[in-house]
Amino acid sequence: MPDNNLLTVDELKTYFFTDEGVVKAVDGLTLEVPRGRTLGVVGESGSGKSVGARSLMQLVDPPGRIVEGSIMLNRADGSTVDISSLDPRGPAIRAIRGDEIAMIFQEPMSSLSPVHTVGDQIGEMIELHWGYTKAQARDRVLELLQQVEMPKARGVIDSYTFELSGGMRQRAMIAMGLACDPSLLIADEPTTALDVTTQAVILDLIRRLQESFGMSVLFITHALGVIAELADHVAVMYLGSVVEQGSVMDVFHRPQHPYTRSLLRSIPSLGLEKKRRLEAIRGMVPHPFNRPGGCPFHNRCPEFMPGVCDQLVPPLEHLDAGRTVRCLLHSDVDEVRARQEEQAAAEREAAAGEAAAQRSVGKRGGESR
Amino acid sequence: MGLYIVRRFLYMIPTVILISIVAFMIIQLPPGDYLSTLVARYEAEGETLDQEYVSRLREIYGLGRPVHVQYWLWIRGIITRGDFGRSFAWGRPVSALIWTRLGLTFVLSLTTTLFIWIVALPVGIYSAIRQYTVGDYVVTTLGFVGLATPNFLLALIFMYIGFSVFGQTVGGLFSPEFVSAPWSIPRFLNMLSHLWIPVVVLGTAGTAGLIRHTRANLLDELRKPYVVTARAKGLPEWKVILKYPVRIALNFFVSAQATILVTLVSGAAIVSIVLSLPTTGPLLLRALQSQDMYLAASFILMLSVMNVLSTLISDIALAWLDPRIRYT
Repeated sequence: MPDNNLLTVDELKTYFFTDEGVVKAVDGLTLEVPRGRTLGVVGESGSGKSVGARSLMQLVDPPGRIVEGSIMLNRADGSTVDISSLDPRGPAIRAIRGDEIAMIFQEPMSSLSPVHTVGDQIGEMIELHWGYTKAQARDRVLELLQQVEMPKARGVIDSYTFELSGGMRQRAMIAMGLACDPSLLIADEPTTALDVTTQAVILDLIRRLQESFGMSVLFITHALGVIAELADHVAVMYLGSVVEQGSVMDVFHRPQHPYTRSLLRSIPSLGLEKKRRLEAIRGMVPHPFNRPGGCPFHNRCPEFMPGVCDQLVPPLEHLDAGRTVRCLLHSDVDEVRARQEEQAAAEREAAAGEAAAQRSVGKRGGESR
Repeated sequence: MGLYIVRRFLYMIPTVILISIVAFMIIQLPPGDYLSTLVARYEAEGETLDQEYVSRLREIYGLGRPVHVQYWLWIRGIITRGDFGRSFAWGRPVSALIWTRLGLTFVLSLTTTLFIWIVALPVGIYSAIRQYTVGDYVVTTLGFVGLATPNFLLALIFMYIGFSVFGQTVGGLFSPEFVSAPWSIPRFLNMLSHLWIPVVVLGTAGTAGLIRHTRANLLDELRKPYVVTARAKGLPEWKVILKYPVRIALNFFVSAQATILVTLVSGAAIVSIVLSLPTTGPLLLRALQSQDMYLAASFILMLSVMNVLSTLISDIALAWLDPRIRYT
């Protein structure tokens, strides 16, 4: 099973160390990106989707950084590399960026430089990773622009982004993502900034390109409808961790996590059940400094179990058909409690030991938090 | 691009005409004229000038005519014959007096600008990409000190250093033996050895200001999404920074140039007096005091034209740098 995965993310934690405190933007992200398939990542604003995606390329800006976990990339030559252990500024990660993992960003206008031509911005990647000359790169860029069905590709290659329409800019962005034939394309809400008809066209284009290039796509969105249309697998995120992952059909038809169930119920449907009131998930996504203890969803959960969900952190449980879920409804609560209490005790002991050691050394004001 | 330059050039013409009118009007604003100043000076010394002599002079210089006629004669002389009129106080044609001084002002301004650029750009970039590090704080502190120190004080300090450490003659742009010598390579080298003091003095405030501005602008650009895009391509960090945010921050850098030149030329007067530099500043001041109107008006006109030209150059540079300006 792991051999079928291009990328395996395990318990990834990306924290931002700000002056006001630590923001746990990604807190225990576990993901499997299958080879040649599309994985949709869905979640509300602030669920850590974008930061998680950027972590996969070590693109998180300070004060954010990956503090824990692993990102195993199975490369084309059969070797495996843990991206989380690479230096964010080093040559090893730079060789992966753009070449093996590429990214399409949300707003093509601000994500592309206003003072460089489209051809220059795409071509420089090909020159960099493939060692092409300017002329060779230009031919390749033209080919790419035709593949993304850019109207008047020959003119667009020498155009600036402000001369293009929103849809054309996003096509240019996609061409940039595909430039070096990556094995993984991360699309971070690529259609959010576009109008609805253009959205549909771009989504269709991404699906067809995925098939013809045979790459894996990690598609980030907050729209469940987009996932249903585009993805083979889906990961549902809430407050920095994946609460449920599985094949799209399976997850949408048999949601196992109360959050997924609530999300699905909050989609307006046309036609049937016209009289039904649209359900909303009660409460708000908690403030990042004010994460609830235990299961992060417990204070909004319709199936909240007092004394359990607010005390225990739900572990990842593997269900049938390659599905995973992070919910205490699916765990053996007593066993989880025993394990976490044991762990907490061990940590307390370690902390006490450390404090004692610090006292004996005579250091004042050790950071006891 | 060609059309842009032509259009921009045409805009210049009415601007220069307006400036020439304003320059001439300003000279006329104080009550009296050169001759009444002259008479007053003689009277202060207990002598009197022959009334008839004065009115004959007034006739010769055309001072009795209406202002617009005087202006027309002056401007016609400039355009048709390159004749800027005569300086009353020096008794020589204005054109014989201003060109060397304008030339030196130009050299001094250009050198100072280059100095400002060469120092401010790399330091500003460094300060921005290393924000809140020790290096940034050192640069920031030096910048504030540079901004806050009055130029004339800096001039005095540098003169002292130049005299006591390097044994240079104090003030001027040349050593005594070169002051009235014709242009030659040794004279040019001698000028360079004197030029550093006014360049550093004049450039310090500008450099400090431009460092701060470059830093602030670059910090804005560094947070833009296109920088992440560039990183996501796998470009090395130096290339990410130089090709994208620095390139865009350059726009500001270039457009700030026009204002820098204006402050340089006007700020140079005090420094030039302290350092007794043979530039336009001191002569202009004297001309204004004695109401030597053609000399003063010509200086003001030429300095303004210099500023208009530098604005034109920075506009063309901007258009060349930024396609968004070029295409609209």
